[in-house]
Amino acid sequence: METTIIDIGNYKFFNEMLLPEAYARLEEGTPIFALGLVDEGIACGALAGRPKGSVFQLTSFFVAQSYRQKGGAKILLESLIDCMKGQGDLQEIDASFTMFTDDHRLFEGFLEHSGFVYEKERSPIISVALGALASNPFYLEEPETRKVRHFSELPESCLRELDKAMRVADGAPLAQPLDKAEIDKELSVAIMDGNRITSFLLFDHSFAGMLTLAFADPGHKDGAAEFAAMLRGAYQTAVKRYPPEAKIVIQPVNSFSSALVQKLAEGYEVVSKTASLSLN
Amino acid sequence: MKTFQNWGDESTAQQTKEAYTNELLEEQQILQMRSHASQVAVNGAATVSRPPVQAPAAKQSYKERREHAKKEKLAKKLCPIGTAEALDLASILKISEVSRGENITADRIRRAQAIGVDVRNLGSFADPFNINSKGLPASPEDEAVKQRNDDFAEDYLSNDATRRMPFLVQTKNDFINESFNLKESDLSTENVLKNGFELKRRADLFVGIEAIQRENRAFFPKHENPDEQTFEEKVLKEQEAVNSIFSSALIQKMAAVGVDAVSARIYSYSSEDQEAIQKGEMMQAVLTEGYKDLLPKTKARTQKLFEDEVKLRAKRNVTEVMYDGNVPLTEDEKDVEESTWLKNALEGEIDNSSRSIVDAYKRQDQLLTIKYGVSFPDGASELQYADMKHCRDMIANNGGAYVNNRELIDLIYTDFYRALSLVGSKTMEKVSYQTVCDEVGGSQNDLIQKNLGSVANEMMTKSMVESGSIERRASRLQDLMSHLLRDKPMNDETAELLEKYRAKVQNPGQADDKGGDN
Repeated sequence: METTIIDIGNYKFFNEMLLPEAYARLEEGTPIFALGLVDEGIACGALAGRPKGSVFQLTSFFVAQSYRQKGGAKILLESLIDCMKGQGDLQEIDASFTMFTDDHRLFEGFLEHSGFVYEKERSPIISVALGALASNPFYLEEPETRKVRHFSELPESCLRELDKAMRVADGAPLAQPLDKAEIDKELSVAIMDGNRITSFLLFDHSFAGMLTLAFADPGHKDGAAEFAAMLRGAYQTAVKRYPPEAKIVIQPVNSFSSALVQKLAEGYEVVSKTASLSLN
Repeated sequence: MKTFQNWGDESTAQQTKEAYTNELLEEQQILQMRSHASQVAVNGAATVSRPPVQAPAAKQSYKERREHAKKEKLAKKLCPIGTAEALDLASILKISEVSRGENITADRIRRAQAIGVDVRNLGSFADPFNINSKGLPASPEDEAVKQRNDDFAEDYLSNDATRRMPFLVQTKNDFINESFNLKESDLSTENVLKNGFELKRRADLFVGIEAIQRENRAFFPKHENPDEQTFEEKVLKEQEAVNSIFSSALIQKMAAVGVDAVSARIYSYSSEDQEAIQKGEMMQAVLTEGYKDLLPKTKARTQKLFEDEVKLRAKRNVTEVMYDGNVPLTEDEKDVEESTWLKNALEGEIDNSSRSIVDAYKRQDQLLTIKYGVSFPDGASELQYADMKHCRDMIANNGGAYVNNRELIDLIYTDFYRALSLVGSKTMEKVSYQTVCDEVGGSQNDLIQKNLGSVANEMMTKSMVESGSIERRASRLQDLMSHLLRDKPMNDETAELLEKYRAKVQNPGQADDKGGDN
């Protein structure tokens, strides 16, 4: 097995071995570094990534199933390191990924075996089984569902208004406008002040199709009671619609959401990983 | 040029320019990387049963990017070169500084001054903990950390060597650990922003240890005369220069990204702060270069210090190993025991604690030379003597064959002796390094001793590898002798070697075979 640079002349052979984002960059001709693994003229694996300062960020790595256990992954990684050594400023390879398939687990082990060191992430993605929440007394309390409204009950204009207000303030809650995004409207809940949403929990299936708590806004600093009511309301709906083993994915990105996860999602598992390899 | 057509407000323009510059740099890096990659023909693709699946990594999720953008906005509002990462770093440094400084009370300042202790170190060597909005430890775990910090301050201020001892041992180990773990990439901008908190703690340790050493001379002796310095003293001293430049470079590097590492805050738009940022930008480049230059030199010198120490201890130990009576005397040897020189030699073995390693080798060689009629003055195991005798006997018992290939056999015989001599030396080396490993094996809590054991182990492994190669050569040479003298069969490798020897006999002037087949 040997490696080759992937460029405009051969990238189509590696279509199924690169993540869509990396492939799209090759297709568009925007900057990306990609190496292919080749066995007797047959494309059988690929890696891709981009340098940022002194770090090469590895964003895509794959070896075709029938070519595994033959040292191909090692050859790819070693070729990348050789190319980086020719470019004096690059001193580290970073790989960030989230585990939800067996391939990700294999990749996790491969990186560890290759000397990568896993670091504690500031905003890790976690997952917790719905059933694991059942023993938490918080969820057993009677929900004050009177004031909690499901998104499915709200007119779309409310969502548009909310989206508009947030875009002006701190940025839109989702990449797509709320009235167009694929929200789980049964599970997503809000508390209203007249026709205005003041606090809300937004669920979708953006994370590999799994139930995802995409956004949580308690509205104001003293919104603990409202927040608790919304969480309980969403939980009550979730247990009716999903089996106990269904996973909920959450990414706490600030100290407030981190503290909440610690208290309200006991038994969670960190599924995102960041590993780095220093070249000196 | 499209990017520059709309400059917008000043900060947006600046950001656009930065983004454009970064993009150019990235492209340039990619081009350079590509120039080092190979290009092979591809004419098909493997079947992929399950293509790779994209799941957002924590750093790239929309939620994380949104939070990041919020912080970027705030950082730019506070500091002209502020970034979300710099803001995070300043915030974590602040929490650390405030919590660690909690054990410096007015009473402790007074007591520290009374006994000449640098009070800043009470904070520098304390551990950080989380504080809640009321200024108290945020959790029972945080409360425990605070208590540990108070206990440490009390132990240190007691001026009682026994109470200070655990801290001093730990500090020495931390110092060695952090010094040995220094890497060139530590001071990259990305790493400083990502791991600035850990790097700052390391710098605090490097700066603070000077006062700790001064205040505890019994534990950290200091001899000006290099001949009087202990091994440990030399190791610690060797790290001083690089550690110092690391600490200074880190502070300036942080300033260059907008973080005041000393007062744990993000720099503002004030003119004083602007000057500090500019100074940081200028100084960090010079200091980082200095650090990069000094680091490999320090690592090489430290490694040599350890290797020299292993060799020194190994020599002492080899003498002890020879004492263990690894040379059993045969009945024949006992018969010659009455000779004067042998009696002296045996007496020497009973009491030669002050004898050098060379003497010990010589005495063993004298004993075995009598038994086998061959000498290895640099040391060898009895097996090597026996192998040599075996070959010599082969020559003596196959005179006809020897005469037919005399020149060739003499050449091989000489090399065989050389090889066995080397195997012997390597065996002795191996044993001596093993004894150093054994000696320091019980000192796992002392990082200098532990590292000494690792270096001894590396040197032992190197000796073993070298010895193995030479042994393989010796074995082939012995096969060659058996073939030439007793017509024994030989394998392909040995046959190849024979051809090389034949060529050498035919062309005696040709360069020595440096042994690619060792």
